Amino acid sequence: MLRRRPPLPSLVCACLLALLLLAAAPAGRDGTPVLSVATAAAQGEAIKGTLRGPDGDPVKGVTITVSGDQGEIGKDRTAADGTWEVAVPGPATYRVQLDVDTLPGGVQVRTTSGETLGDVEVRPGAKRTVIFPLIPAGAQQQPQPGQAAPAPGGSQPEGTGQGGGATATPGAPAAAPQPQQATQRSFAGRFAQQVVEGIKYGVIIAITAIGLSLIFGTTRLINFAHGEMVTIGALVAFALSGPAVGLPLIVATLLAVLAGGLIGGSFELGLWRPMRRRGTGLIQMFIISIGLATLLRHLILVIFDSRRRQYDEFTVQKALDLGPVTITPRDLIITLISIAVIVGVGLLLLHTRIGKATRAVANNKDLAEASGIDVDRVILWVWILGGALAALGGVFYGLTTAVYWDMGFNLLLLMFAGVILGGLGSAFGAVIGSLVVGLVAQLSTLWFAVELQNAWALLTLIIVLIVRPQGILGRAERVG
Amino acid sequence: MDLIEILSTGVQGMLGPEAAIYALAAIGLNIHFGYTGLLNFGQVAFMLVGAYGVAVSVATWSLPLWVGVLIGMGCAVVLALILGIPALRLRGDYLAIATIAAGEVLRYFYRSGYAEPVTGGVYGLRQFANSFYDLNPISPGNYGVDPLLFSARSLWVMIVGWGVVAITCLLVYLLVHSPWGRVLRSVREDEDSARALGKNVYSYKIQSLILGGVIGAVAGALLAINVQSVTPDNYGTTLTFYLYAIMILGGAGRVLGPVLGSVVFWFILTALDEFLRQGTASGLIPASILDAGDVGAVRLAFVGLGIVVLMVFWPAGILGNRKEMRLDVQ
Amino acid sequence: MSSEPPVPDELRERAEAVRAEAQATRSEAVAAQLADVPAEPGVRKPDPILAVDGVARRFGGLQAVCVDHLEIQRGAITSLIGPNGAGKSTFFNVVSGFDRPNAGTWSFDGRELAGLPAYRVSRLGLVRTFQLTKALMRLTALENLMLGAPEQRGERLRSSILRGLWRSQENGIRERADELLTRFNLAHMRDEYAGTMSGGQRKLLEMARALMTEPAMLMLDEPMAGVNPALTQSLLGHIRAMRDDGMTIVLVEHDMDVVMGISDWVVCFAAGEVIAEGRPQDIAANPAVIEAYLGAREDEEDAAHPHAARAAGSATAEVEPAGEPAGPAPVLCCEQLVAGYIPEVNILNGCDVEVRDGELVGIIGPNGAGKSTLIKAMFGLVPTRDGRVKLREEDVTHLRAHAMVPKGIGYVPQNDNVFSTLTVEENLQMGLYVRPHEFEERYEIVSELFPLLRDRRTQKCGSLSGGERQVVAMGRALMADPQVLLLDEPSAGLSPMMQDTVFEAIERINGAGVSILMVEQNASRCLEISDRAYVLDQGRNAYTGTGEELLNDPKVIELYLGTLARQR
Repeated sequence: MLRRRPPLPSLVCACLLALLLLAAAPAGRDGTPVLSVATAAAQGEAIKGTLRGPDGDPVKGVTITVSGDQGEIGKDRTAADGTWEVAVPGPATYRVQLDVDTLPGGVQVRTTSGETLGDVEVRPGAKRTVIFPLIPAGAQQQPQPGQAAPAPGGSQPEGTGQGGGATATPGAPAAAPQPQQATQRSFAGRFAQQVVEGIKYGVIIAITAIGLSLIFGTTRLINFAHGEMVTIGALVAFALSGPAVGLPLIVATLLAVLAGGLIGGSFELGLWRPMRRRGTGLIQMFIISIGLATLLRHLILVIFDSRRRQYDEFTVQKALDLGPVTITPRDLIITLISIAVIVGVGLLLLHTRIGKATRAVANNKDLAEASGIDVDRVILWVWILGGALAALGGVFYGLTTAVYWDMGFNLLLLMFAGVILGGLGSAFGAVIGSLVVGLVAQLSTLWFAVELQNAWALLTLIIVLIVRPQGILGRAERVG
Repeated sequence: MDLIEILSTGVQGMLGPEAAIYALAAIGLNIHFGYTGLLNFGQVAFMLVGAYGVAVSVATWSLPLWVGVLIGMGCAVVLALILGIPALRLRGDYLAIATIAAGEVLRYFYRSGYAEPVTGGVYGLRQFANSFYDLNPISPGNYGVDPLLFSARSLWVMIVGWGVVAITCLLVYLLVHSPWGRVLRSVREDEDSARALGKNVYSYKIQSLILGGVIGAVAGALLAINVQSVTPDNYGTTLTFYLYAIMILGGAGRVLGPVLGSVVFWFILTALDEFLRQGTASGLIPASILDAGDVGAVRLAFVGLGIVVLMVFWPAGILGNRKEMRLDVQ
Repeated sequence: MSSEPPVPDELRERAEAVRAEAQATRSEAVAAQLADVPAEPGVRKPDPILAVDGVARRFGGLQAVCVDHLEIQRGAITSLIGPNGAGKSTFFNVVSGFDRPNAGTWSFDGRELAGLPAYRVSRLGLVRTFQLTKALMRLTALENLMLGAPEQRGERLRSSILRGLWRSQENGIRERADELLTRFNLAHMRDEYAGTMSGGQRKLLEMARALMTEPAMLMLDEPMAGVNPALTQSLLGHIRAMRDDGMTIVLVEHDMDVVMGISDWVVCFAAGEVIAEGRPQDIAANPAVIEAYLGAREDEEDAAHPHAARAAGSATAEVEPAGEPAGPAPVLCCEQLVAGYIPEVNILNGCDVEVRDGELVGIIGPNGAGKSTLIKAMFGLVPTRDGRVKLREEDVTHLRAHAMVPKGIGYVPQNDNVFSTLTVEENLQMGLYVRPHEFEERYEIVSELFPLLRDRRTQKCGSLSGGERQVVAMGRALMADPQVLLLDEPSAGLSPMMQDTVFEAIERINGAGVSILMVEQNASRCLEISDRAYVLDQGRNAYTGTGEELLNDPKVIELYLGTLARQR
């Protein structure tokens, strides 16, 4: 069993490579003397939030002070993306105060004396999210309700809180961009808007899911670490476009895509190929990929901490009004590029030599081997392509939401949903499936709460699995 | 750097209530994966319904605690049936994804605004296990040899937790060494053979799913009682992964595998945690590499690394039979 | 075979009388019962335990099984024979509830089985084994057997933890299991994992396990496959003993010696239908059976002059007489090749084959002789344990398959031989993956040979018919301009007309100067077009000669139908 060269050293190399790329990132983003961003990792208690103006855009440079029984504990100024975070010494009740003098002109807090929130309770190991709702200056302030407005923080228990942050932090799911307007619009208008959002969400999922599907098609491995390839892509671009390196985001993205390809390739060479040679069972490999995902995700957490960040460029944009729907130029361009990339990959698969070989290997590995195709090389190529696409999808997902340590993991189940809906192993199916997932998730918000949008998408997955396990486009497996 | 401190923290961790609770949940998983070969990646969903069974019954409906535990177990049976009747017909890896998705869907719904009147939504529920602690026969104070001390409260949970683990292990031992267990293992090896011998494979799979699920629900209930609070985000997919790590570490398909796995897992986890904390606090590990806040993440990274290394080099685990593992090439 | 006359009453009375004969041995009784049954497909038996009506199973467009009427005589050993792909295993799967037919009903001991799940069928007493032995690897031999016992109280979840409820039953089962282990010579393996047993031991174990269920009827799917001759004898003994205990046995078996020696009744399948049934001696003489195995000759006149027919159909020059290797080194040859899929189980036990320039060489032999394994091993798809494969002077024994192609060996597998999701053109491109720049040039040459490739250039291969696929597959293999082409059963599963197309194509390829090594189950057609042929049996060379010589050699027919004694 141990006859072969142990793959671990090369695996470690692959991980190190990934992390070296990440290490270029600065720890505290825009130099704000955050009291202790570091202590606010997964373990320590903290109070945090993202300050956004009435238009949903982040508000920068506002001072927020946290105090306890013994007086002031710490303060933070909101970053360019509106985020702030103050670490607290332990679970207790704190008072959080927004310094109204630092608010930019034209906005005010929604409720009278809403700038001070008493009784903000922080539970053990939890990060409490606090929201200060802002409204345009001059608008009627609401009277203080009985209970403070601190928002659902969701205790973020060590490492298990995937998704928690995503739905609790305002603005994270790009679902309802203009909540105030939305209520006034006609149903048809909202429907159209959500279709656009769904397509945007769907194509981003699709970009990442193509690789997952091709990898499954050629190797039968369900790669659980695909989500981390997405995160690493987003983070590499973030690090390279940040102040430390200062590349334009577009260049940083291209480099991130390159890095994604490298990482995908090194996973194949360092881990999966040796495992296949050893004849490791598929279930064993599936569990290994879960371990790898856990390892990478928490290494990323160590290096990048748990803050949600925004890319410097293209964060604040005015939405374009396109008839019934509105979309920011950024999202429009992302959607168009995504579609172009998907079409490009499709053409690649249909018309290039390597693309045809990929389809041939996915269709019939033994025959491909017998035709003289070096199957191992094709699989390596698939990993490189899959890694590059995952990285690109990561940057896009980061641009439309935020960059954070488990963003890819949040996306992973949706990728699975897309891949399985479309029929495992078919790249084209994965695209269709991902669009369905994106549309289901976004359209569900017309009737149901935003927080459940991914739940509906996953429920669709379960139902499809049970009703039609071969997927929407997949062919039924031959029996006997 | 205080070695005694590190070791005693490790021992505390491996004997503590969490170790017992994780062992229990992994025993349930062992019935699914180790004995029946079901790739259930939604074990956390059973823990979730178990925990909320207790919490909702007591905090929302003001029922007695023991009724809550029973309701939690009942929910696990219902969940196993809802999940199992359609999903057990799926191929192994599809089943894994369906169960992961089911766990996540459940978590999303428990934390949603709709469910808030019952489940407390994202805030969760708290302080529902007072009646459990009122039963604590141990008078307050700390027990043990310094620095290895347990509070009376912890001791009470530990006694109950490990007691349940012991009873469950005995139950599992009796089950898997009975003809019923023999059928279960034959399903793991080859479903068609079992069918050809007249065994209703589907029914056995559902029985396995229910049994392991109920054990998971009891673990969830204990977890909720231990911390006197439940929040949905405590029951994410990653928890299932830890249970897999524990089960494989101890040896899948062995009665005591999950128990030993959990003990070792928690010893390593807490000792490592303490080591890193001391290291960062004393400056032995420079803050530029690691600071105190990263400790939690680092130890979880080790869990991931552990799963990879175990599966690659030591798939049989501590108690597993290497010879048996070699036969598992399919 | 649609409307059989009702069984005459006399027959039934006679059967009763025979059964009453206390002194007669079982086998004599069965023989007597079946003595007067006419040897016709679908014939009624005096005392059927299983009756099948109108059962059809289709896979896509392929009619795998289509049985109008078939009865299995109670207490007899009935063998199902037929060439590969005749539908025997599918028939097994359908009858035992492991597969659902598209139509049809069947009853077992008077009970309708259609729609019953497999485990219910088994509980009614119809128990089967599998072609690929399914030992429960991580259960011990004893546990494997004990699992088989029916109606165990301890198998219910509620009573399983209360030992007292099932202990005595368990002890009884253990005793019986131990008896069976001893009877099957497995007692020494009692507490070993089944996974550590040899292939033959697993076969024994599976059979013993099935016996634990106390079946009324046992269906054995290729019980002798991969079992060494000594064990075969003991397996046969066990099967006879089971019959003498009153059990009905149905077995699928390829070894004709075994079939003819043990069966009370033989049913021959071809293309999913029952084409003949009868006592062994009826079957051995039945021309339909011979045709099913050896393939129909093209037609009677041509058959008389097979070589002429071949020469007319191809541009091949007259070849030198066979049996005397002459001239330069052969294009491809293998020496004393030993190979097999699973460790320790060899399918090939030392084969020698050579293909010289421009030759069309056939490999024929009964099912399970190792024909396909031979060319797979030569092409690097099956691990070789011993011996050598040489291309010209170069040793290519351990090269992987994809490295064989650039060296000039083309290979066309039997099944799944096209990329169904790719177009015809893309399939051809895959064939020339290593040298894409030569595509146009080669495409011209290959499509000249097969105009179909030009006509269907942009069509997806998944939508082609079987014969067309075969042509595409051969075209793909030809793209790389191989010196020698290996074909694995090119006519398998094709209609006679399609087969004609394929054989014609093969001759054309050969005519274009490509040496061909072809495995074929349609032995007659294969021999008609082959320059030379090898007859394999049990993984070894049995005979070699020119196509013509072998075509008229009675020994070959005997080999297929097994009247030839093999005590060497």
